[in-house]
Amino acid sequence: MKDDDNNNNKILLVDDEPDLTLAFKLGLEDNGFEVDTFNDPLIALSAFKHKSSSYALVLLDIKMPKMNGFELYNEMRQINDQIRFCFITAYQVQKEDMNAISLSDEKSFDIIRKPIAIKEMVQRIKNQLS
Amino acid sequence: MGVIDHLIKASQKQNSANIKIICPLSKENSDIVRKVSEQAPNIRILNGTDSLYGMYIIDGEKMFRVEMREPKAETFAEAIGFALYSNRKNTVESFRSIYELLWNERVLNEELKKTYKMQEEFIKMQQEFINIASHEMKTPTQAILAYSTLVERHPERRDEMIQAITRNAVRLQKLTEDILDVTRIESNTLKLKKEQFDLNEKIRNVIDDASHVLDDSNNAIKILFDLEPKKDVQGKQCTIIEADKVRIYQVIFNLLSNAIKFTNKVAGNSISIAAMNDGENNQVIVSVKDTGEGIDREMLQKLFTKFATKSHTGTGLGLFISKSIIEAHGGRIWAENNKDGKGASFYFSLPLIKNPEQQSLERNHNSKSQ
Repeated sequence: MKDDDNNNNKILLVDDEPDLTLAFKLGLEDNGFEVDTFNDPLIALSAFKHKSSSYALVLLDIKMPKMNGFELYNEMRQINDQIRFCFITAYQVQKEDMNAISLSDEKSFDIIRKPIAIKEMVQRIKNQLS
Repeated sequence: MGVIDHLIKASQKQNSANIKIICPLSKENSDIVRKVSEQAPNIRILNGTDSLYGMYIIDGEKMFRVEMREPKAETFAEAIGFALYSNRKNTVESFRSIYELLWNERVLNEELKKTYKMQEEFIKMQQEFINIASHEMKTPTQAILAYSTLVERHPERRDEMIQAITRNAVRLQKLTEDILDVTRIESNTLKLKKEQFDLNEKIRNVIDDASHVLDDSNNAIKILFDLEPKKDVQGKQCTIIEADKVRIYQVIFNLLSNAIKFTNKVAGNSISIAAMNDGENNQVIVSVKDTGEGIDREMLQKLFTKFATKSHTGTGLGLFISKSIIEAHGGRIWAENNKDGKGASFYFSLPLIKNPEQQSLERNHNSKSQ
């Protein structure tokens, strides 16, 4: 598949709460991003396989049914390790959870805690992309 | 081992001796412990500090103290060191009191360990509660926060966004109530305002309210409610109970919401509710039967405990609260997978009032005579 020419503003967002995917999508689009959203992590993963290089950043919820955000992160990193990641979660991240993800590249992701104002979320994502 | 065999024999006799052993419950002694617990369960063993170099045995009249010279020795002569035997009352008494002190100290030690373990489990559960409650609090807060900012920029989606805000505010409200209920249950301050009413009427209210919720969230969902009030031959008042209306409503609503949540929204799927008069046991049984996936075995066992949930949008408090409410009314709540097909059924029972009219007459009479 041909990559998009300009892929530095495209975000893949996975959160099992439809109310949140819509809100984040609109908020990010208002700030110049292009956003694909998924509520099911498995469907998100198969979509990612086909066009991973079209995304600049992946925004993942952590507590989701079928596959949690850390597992999804590990799978996605194997497909494409050039992409930046942000976790956005209401879940209290424990030390043990951090062991589940490869920490060799600590700077390749950020953890954003819900609830967060759209403005601030956008800023954190921009920082991660710069 | 020889000594242990003697002690086991002594414990098995008629008027058996009260035998207590303190020894290290180490790997080396596991054979002894197993043998004693199998053959002489009335001998009590407590864990002691490791002492390879001796032991002493006391009963009411004699004491025997032996020290090992060489614990790894193979023959008795090589092993035996200093030994002391006495049947003098004072000597026996003083060794006996030392042993009793040691025994009591060991008992306290075991109790302390148990308390500590319980405390740890309690802290772990509290932590889990805080984690789950905070996750459940932050998620709807996030939605409210985001949509209330977005609604100005997107007037074309105003209605949709206000609906989302309301939906999430209701979710927060429900969570707040659940947490307060759990607090009341755990501090034994759940108060019931009991009054007489017809359970069937309450069920009808819940069905009406739940139908509204259904229509709002998804117009495609059509779930059949099948209310089957079973009436006895004589009268209509076979489902009259004395209970807290609000709390009973809460339980039925919870069971019905769960049934809706776990039933596939496909035409033909149905949920049925029935209140059956079980006059023989002087109770009424309410059943909520769904055609969902059913409950898996692991879940069935912990269904009514705190935080047990299969849903990713729930705290797992609903059934715990329902159970507490029903039990506070002297009833019972249980669940099973449907034998005649897919899905699960939830039941609860509540005590019936025998002759409601007569009883209220009696009450009037009593209050007058007071």
